[in-house]
Amino acid sequence: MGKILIVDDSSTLRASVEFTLTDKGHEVLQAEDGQKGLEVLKTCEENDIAMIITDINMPNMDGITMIKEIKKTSFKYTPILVMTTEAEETKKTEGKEAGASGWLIKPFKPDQLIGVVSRFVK
Amino acid sequence: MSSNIQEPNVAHIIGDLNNLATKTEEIFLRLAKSLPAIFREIEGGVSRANHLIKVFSKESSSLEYGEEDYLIIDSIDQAEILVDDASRFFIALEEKDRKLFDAINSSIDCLVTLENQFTDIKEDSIDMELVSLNAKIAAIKAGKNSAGFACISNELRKLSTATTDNTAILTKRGDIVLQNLTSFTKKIENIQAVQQSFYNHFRETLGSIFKNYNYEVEGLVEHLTLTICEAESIKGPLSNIMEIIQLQDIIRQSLEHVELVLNETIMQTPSDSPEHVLDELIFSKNLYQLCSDLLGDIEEKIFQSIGTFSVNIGDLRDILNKVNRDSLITKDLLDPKNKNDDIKEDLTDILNESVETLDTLIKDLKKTMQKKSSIPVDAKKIIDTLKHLENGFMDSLDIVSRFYPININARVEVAKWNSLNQIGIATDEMSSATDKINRDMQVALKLIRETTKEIETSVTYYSKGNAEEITSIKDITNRIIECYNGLAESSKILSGTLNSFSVYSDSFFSLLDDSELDIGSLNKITSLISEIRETLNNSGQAVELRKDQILSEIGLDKWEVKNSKLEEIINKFTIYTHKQTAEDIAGIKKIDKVEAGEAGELTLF
Repeated sequence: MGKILIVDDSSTLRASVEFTLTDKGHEVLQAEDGQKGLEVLKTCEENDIAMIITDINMPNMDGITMIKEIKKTSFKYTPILVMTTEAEETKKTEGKEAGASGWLIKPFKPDQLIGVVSRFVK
Repeated sequence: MSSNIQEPNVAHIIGDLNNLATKTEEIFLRLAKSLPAIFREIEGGVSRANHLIKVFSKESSSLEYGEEDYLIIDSIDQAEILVDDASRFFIALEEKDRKLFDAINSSIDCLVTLENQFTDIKEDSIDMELVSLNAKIAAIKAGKNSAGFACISNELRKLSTATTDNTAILTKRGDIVLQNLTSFTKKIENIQAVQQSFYNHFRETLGSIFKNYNYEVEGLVEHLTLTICEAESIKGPLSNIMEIIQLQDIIRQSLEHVELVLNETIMQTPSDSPEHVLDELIFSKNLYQLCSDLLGDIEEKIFQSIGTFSVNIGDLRDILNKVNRDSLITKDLLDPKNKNDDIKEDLTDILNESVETLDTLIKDLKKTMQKKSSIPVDAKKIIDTLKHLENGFMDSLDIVSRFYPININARVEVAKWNSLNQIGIATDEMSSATDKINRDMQVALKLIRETTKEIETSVTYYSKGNAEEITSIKDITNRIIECYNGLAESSKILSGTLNSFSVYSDSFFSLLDDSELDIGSLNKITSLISEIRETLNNSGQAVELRKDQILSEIGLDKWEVKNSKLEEIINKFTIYTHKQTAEDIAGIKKIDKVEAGEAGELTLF
């Protein structure tokens, strides 16, 4: 089972997601913004990362920019789930166009996250 | 603002809000990090306990490679099989011994008839004495014609005396043999009785020890399973807490929104134009209301968090108390120290008792084996005495054989002299007595030889079987001791695992105490939010009054807002519900509610 990279500037949210995913046997990597997320990916092989979960609104580099950058790397086929408080269609479209695979609105229940992760990570 | 309204100290409020953001993040993060640590430790304990259940129960097939070394159930099964095997072995041994002892006893019984034979031989030697006396009398009566016969009768007299003497010696030797045989028989009977008692005791005692141990283990497994279920139920409240911890991200963003809005209130430019002042006043009123509503949302989320934290930390405490109590009970079942009155016997007691019983059984077994090993030695002594007796008989027969030439000479003398009629009679008697004593001695000799051979055969067979028996018994005792060691080792592992349950529970309780203090801090934060909201609401009301006053001064009932600054603020919001709130306050409709998703909603592209 590959690792899951969580990119979010909220450390509490990262801890909450990590708890939910590790309980299901996933190994989790963390980054606090888009820039750090890209740096983490640089240290990994393509097959190391099974999925990326990212917030949108973050300092230094936002989630949409990070997704666009990821699409230029060897991780372009890695599924990316956006996890955000943004709920408008215009924002979702922006994420879709950047290359995100899905959009999950915060706050969510652990089962909702596990459900979507299981769609992408077997 | 040119409206002369007492404005709230925005900088101070922003400072408070920043502290509030830091404080909530600190509290939520502490919970987010410490509670999963508890969970991981409990999970570790549960995993170890689950492993133990596999080791202690029949689920050994699910163990990983190499783990089967610790299978206590195997130790118990092996012990039970061992007791059955040993029991069967002892029953077979007892049967074999019984046959052997019967054979030896039968030989000994035959030898008892030797006593009768001795009586006959004694009588024979007396007869021989009488015959020799009659011969002597006959010789004297016959006068000088019987000079040759007198010599013969003298010789006969000497031989009969020698026979009588030898018979006395044989009788003594025979008595010794019989005495030895009697004591040997008693010893064998005693060994048989001890052996039978030991074999019966062995099965009964060891069987019941392992049965008791197995029963206790089953009880422990059951208890451990319940403890695991309780420990695993920690996941429920913990998940609830970890889910609500997400709210901190929303609280933080909400506080940023409030700060954003408050900053707008101090960026307004003063003006003397009533129209402009009205625009600013309505904008300010909207900002204060928006801030208050956003803070209300934050307050609600913190209340929601406090509620979830309180209930679930209470649940965690209850679960940990139960797990702690159960693990202590389970430990008491294993450990005699600090045992409560409800627990009469624990596994350690059973093991200690069984080790003592096993020691006694093994000592008894060794004693029995020692006694049994002395049987061939005793038998050898009997065989030696029998051989000694046999030699005595050979000597006697040698003497008896010497009667025959005397008898022939006597008959020659009788043939020479017709007057020796009486001597003829004596000679016939002598012939008959010699035949009889010879026959009786031959019977006795045959009996002795047969008995000696039988005893020798039985004892040789017994000695060989005894050596194999000692090897098998050593093997059985070693295997039983191995089983005990296995059980003792498994008990230690179980005890160690249960210890780890109570070790971490102490630190958990302290962590829960800290978490409850944090909940107290969150309550204080809501009080601060309420105070800020009150200040903002008061400012909003003052602005509303001033707006009404100006409208009255310029003779108008209402005023439409002409600036679009609120829309600009809305665009900066990152939480959809806040945008909706702001739009409602501003009376604008920018977002289509149908189009926007709700919390937890997933869209796949």
